Amino acid sequence: MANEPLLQVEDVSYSYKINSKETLQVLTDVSFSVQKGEYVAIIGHNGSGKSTLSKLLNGILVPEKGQVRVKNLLTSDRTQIKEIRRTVGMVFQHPDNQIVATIVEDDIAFGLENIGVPHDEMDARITGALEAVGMSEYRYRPPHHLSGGQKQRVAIAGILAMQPECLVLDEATSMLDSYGRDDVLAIMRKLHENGMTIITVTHHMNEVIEADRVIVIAEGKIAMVGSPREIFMRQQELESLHLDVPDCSRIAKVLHQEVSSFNATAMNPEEIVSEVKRLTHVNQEESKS
Amino acid sequence: MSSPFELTRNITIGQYLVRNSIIHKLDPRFKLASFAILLVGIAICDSYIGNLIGLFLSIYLFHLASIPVSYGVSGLKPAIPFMIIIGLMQLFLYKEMSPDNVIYWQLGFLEVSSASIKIVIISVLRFMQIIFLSSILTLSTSTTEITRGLERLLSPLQKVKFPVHAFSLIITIAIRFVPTFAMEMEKMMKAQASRGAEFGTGAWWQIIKRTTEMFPLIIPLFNVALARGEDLILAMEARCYTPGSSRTVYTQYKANGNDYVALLVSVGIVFVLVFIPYPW
Repeated sequence: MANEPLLQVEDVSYSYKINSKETLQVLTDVSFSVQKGEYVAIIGHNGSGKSTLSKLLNGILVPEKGQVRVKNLLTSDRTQIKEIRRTVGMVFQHPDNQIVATIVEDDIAFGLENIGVPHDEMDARITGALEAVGMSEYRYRPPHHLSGGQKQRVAIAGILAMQPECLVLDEATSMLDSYGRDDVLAIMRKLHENGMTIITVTHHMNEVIEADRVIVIAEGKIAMVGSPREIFMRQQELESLHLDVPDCSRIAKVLHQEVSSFNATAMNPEEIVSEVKRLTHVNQEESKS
Repeated sequence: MSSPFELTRNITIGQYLVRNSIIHKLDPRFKLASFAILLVGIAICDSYIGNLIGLFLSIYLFHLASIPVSYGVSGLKPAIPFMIIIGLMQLFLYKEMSPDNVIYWQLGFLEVSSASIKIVIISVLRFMQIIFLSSILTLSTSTTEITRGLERLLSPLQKVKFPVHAFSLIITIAIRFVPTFAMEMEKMMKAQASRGAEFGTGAWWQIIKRTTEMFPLIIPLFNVALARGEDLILAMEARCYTPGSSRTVYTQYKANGNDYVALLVSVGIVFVLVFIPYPW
C-alpha cells in the first residue's frame, strides 16, 4: 500500500500485575492498523481490554509484547513520546477529571504550553478549538459552572488546539446525558468530515453506526472486524459477547423475518423509513396491476 | 436559610467580587508584591499609632476597591476564637525585662504586665489589618490571577532549580477541584444522612462537634480524590505534560504606571509604619 498507516498495532499483548505471582492477561496478540482519515470504533463490554488498548495508542502504556507505531514512531521510544502524543490526542471518560485549570481558556492553553507553542500563536489556536466544539462563549468561564457535556467539549477543544492528526475518545460519552452525548457525537462527525482520524472506544452500539470500521474486542482479542452493517448482521455472535445491536437494526431484522423483501441491514431510522416507503410503493404497484 | 447539604451553593473560591476599581485593575504581580511588602511592615511595626495608621489605611483600601468594609469584618468572625486564645496566652505568658515594665498581677509563672497588655492590643490590631488586607487581595483578584501572578513573581527562583511551574500548577489544580470535591461531599453527606448520620446540628462556635461530624466523610473523600488524581495524571500526560521540561506561557502581563505607583506607595507606607519613632 502506498499510504503508510497512521497507526499500526502489531501483535500486542498486555497484562497487569495483580501481585508478585499473579498477572491478569488483558490483551493477547492484537493487530490492526488505522489509515489517515479513517473513523474506527472499538467496541467491547466491560473488562474486554478495550480501555487498555486505547491507552496503548499514545504511549500511556507500552505493550509487553509486540509494538505500536504512530507515524512509524515506536511508542516504546520514550524520546519520541511528545511527538507521539501530539499526533494522537486522547479524550477520557470522566469530564471532570481532565480539566486542569480554573478558566476554560487556560485549560486549553495548558496543552499548548506543554508543547511549546509560541504565545502569539496560542490565541488563534484557542479561538479555533473553541469554535470547533461550539464553546466560544464560555471561554472565560470557570469549568465548574459547565454541564458534563460542555466540560467534555472543553476537553476535546484542549486536544484539538494541539492539532493532532488522530483523536482517540476513550468512552468519552459514557458519563454524559443524552444531550451531551449527541453534542459530542456531532462534533466527532464534523471532525471526521474535515479529515480528522477518529478512534472511538465505547460499549454503546448506537455510537458505532457512523464509523467506517468496527473492531469488536472480547477477552483481549479481536473478535470481529467489519463495517457497522456487516457487524450488526451477526446479531447472535454479538449477543454471545454481551453486546447489543442498535435498536434500528433489531427492528429491521424483525421486519425482515415477517416480510422477507425488507432489507435486514437497515441500521438507522432514515433507512427504515425509506425501506417502508419502498415496500408500500411496491405493494401499491402490485395491487394496481 | 441554606440547608447543611448545599455546599456548592455557598462556595466562594477566593470570594472574588467583580468591580471596576483601581485595585481590581492592578497587575496581579504588583498587587501580590505590594501585599507582601505591607505584611512585612505590619509585622514589624509595634507602636499603637503606627498600627492605628495601618488599620485606617487598610479600611481605606476597601473604599478604593469599592468593596463594603462588611466583607472584611465578616472575615474577622471565624478568627475570633483564635485571637482570644492567642491573646490570653500573650497576656499571661509574655515577659519583658525592661525598667519601665509595670507588673500588675503575678501567680507562679503567670503574670500580667504593662508590656503584655500592650502586646495583646498590638497583636489584635495586627490581626485585623492582616485579615483586612488579605480580604482585599482575595476580593479584588480572581484565584486564577493570583496563581498566575504568583508563578510570574516566583519565576526567578527557577534559577536555583525551584519547580515554580509545578508549584503554581499544584495550587491551580487544588483550586480547580474545590467545587468538584464539594459536590462529591454533598453526595456523600446526603447518602450518609439518609442512613441516619447527623450533619450541621452544632452551632458555629461548637468547633469540636462540627469537626467530628465530618469524620465519616474523610476516608471516602480521600478515596475519591486519589481516583480522580489518577485520571488527571493520565489526562495531563496525554496532553504532553512533562514535569520540569521547558514550556511557553499563555498569559502575559504588562505593567503600567498605576502598578508602579501602587508598589511605591506600599514601600512608602512601610517606611511610615516602621521608621518613624512614634511616642506610643
